[in-house]
Amino acid sequence: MDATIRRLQNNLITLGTGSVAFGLWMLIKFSLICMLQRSDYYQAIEGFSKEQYEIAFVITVMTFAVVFFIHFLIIGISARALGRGRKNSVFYLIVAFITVSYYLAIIISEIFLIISSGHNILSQSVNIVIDISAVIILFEIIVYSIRLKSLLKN
Amino acid sequence: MNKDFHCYATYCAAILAGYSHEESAVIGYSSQMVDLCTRTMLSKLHAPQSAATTQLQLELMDARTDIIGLQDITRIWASFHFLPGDLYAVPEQKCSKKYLKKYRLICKPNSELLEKTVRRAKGKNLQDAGIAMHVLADTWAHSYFAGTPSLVINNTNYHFFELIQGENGEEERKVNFRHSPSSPDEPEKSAYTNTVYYNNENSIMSLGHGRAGHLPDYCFVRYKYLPAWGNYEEIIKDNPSDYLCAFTQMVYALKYLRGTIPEFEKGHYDTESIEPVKDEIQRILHTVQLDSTKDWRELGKKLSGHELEEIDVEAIEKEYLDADADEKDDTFLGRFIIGALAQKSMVTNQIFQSGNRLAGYSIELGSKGFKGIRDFKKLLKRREAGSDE
Amino acid sequence: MNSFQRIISFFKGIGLVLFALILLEYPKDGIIIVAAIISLSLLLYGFRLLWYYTRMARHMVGGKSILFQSIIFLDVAIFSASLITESQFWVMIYLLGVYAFSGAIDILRAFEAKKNGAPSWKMKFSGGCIRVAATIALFVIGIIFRETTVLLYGYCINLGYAAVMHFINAFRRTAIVYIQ
Repeated sequence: MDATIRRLQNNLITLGTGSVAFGLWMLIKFSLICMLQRSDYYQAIEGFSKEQYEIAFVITVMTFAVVFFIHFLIIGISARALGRGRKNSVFYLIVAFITVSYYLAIIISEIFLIISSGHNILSQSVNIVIDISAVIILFEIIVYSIRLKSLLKN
Repeated sequence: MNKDFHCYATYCAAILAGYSHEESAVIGYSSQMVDLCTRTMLSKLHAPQSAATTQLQLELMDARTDIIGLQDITRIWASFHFLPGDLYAVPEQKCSKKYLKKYRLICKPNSELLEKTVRRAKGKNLQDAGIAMHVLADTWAHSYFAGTPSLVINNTNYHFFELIQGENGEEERKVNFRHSPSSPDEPEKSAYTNTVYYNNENSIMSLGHGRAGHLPDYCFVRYKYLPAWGNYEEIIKDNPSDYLCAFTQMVYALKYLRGTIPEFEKGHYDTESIEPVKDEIQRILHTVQLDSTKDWRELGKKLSGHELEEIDVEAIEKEYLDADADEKDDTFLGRFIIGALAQKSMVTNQIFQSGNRLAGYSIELGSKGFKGIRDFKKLLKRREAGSDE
Repeated sequence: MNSFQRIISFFKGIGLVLFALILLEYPKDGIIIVAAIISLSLLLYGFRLLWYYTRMARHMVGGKSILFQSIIFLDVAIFSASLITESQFWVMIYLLGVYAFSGAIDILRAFEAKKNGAPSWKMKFSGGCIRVAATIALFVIGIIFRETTVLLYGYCINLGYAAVMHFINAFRRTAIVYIQ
């Protein structure tokens, strides 16, 4: 049982670090998308100029990016704390559940987008794979956290 | 293990096994020589470079880590410092062949290879006995590490604790590893130097016990950690106890080599012979000091009545250089070189026979004739001269 | 270094010189090729890490970190590939950033070599410092003047300098072999 506890603790520390790194990379990536590729996402909307569209695009994307980053940061730091044997609340598990739900919705919408548009299949597929990896990381954090807490209680 | 055990403790073991002072000195010096005989030294003396029994840090930094380079490194370290415990071991979990090959090089004491190492030295020179004792001693100190660069076998992590006997019983103190070779280790603070973590399977930083620093080589340390291959099972290393086992096993092995006892088998220890000096040995092994040379030397003097001088490497080199070509093999270093070649050849062959190519290829002389590295022709000449069994 | 390593070092130098010449001759296509190669090498590295995880590191204590590294590298590779045709200016900035980073790594390795007593630390240190300083200078010029040509020349000078270092390494006497 000690080995199992150590394995769960070690995995949580690794997953937590991975979660923080992943969140940071997402933030950087979305920032670069806003800087370099925002014109690619332009769609003409009546009553809005291109500049207005791009400003709205940047605000929306960066808001999501910062929110996701904060989610990953909370989850990652809490998972690491649990892995190091410090007590913490279950708030981060709730955040993890919410983030997993977001990601599942994003994955489903990306799949529909590929089926409907048929553009950029390769890069969209890779994006789906990356998103699935994020879901797996978060799912593992949830499962390991619950298992570890129950083992430590016993 | 360090010079204090390899040279001076081996000397004491040889005296207890019944060897004279001069014979014990040769055995002790030969054991120490395994940590000194590098390619740099051999090339300087125009001696066979394949007889190298260790590598300098600079040599390692420049070493190739392609398949040829890795085989060269493994041949040296697995043959002399990390003798594999079980060449046919199977881990609990299913794994790839590549992982299995590295797993099988993990060093453990009381292996079949150890029996072969000691038996190989029977009837040979004292230098062969010294080499065998070095290998035997290192199987205890370097247990659970492999003599090949491997992150997945030799890595350690933050879960590393020194076990210290405090006022309230045994305490755990987290080991603070740092990467500063020039700073001395501080046992009172549990601050030790280890190698840097490199995210590369074949990095030199993951060779042997580099990731655990010098802890395996300090006789007083007791510690626990998670070996990378161990599936999160904790290993507790009790160096004082292990070193005592190494010492008593050396006495037993040396008695066999001297002919006092007929057979050498793994798992046997001569605890009777050390009884008169057991307390003294325990005191040395439990004293917190990075170098126990002075204590072992004093014990040696007490046992033999003679003081064992520091090994004079320059004199040994000079003897070899000054000897004629046909007399070099009869010098101290010449005999050591032949012993080293034989040990390396035996271990490489055994690893190869187990289906593992990590130490390179080995050819049976009887069936295929001589092929391969020219340096090993000395062994062939020795066999033809009737020295080999 | 042995003969094989010296030959490899020499050919690496030749390769870098050819690269620099191609970039100077065909600046627009050259940048795309270089960016594509860097993306491809990141992608291959990511897959290599993933393969390493599946075959070896999954049995290692803490081996999951290798898996995360591979995922992040794969994502970085795909993202940088998407930038290739988008904005060549930013691709150059990205390449210079990679170069500055490798210069910083050289400096760290020089410190480590110095701690281990290796005499080669001075060369590594000076090489790393020059690389970092030159990259920063070109970065500033690129931002202020938004001149891709200057950035390109600067990058080619960096490549030439790296090539010269490889040639020097190929022919340098190693202290270990010549101790008497």
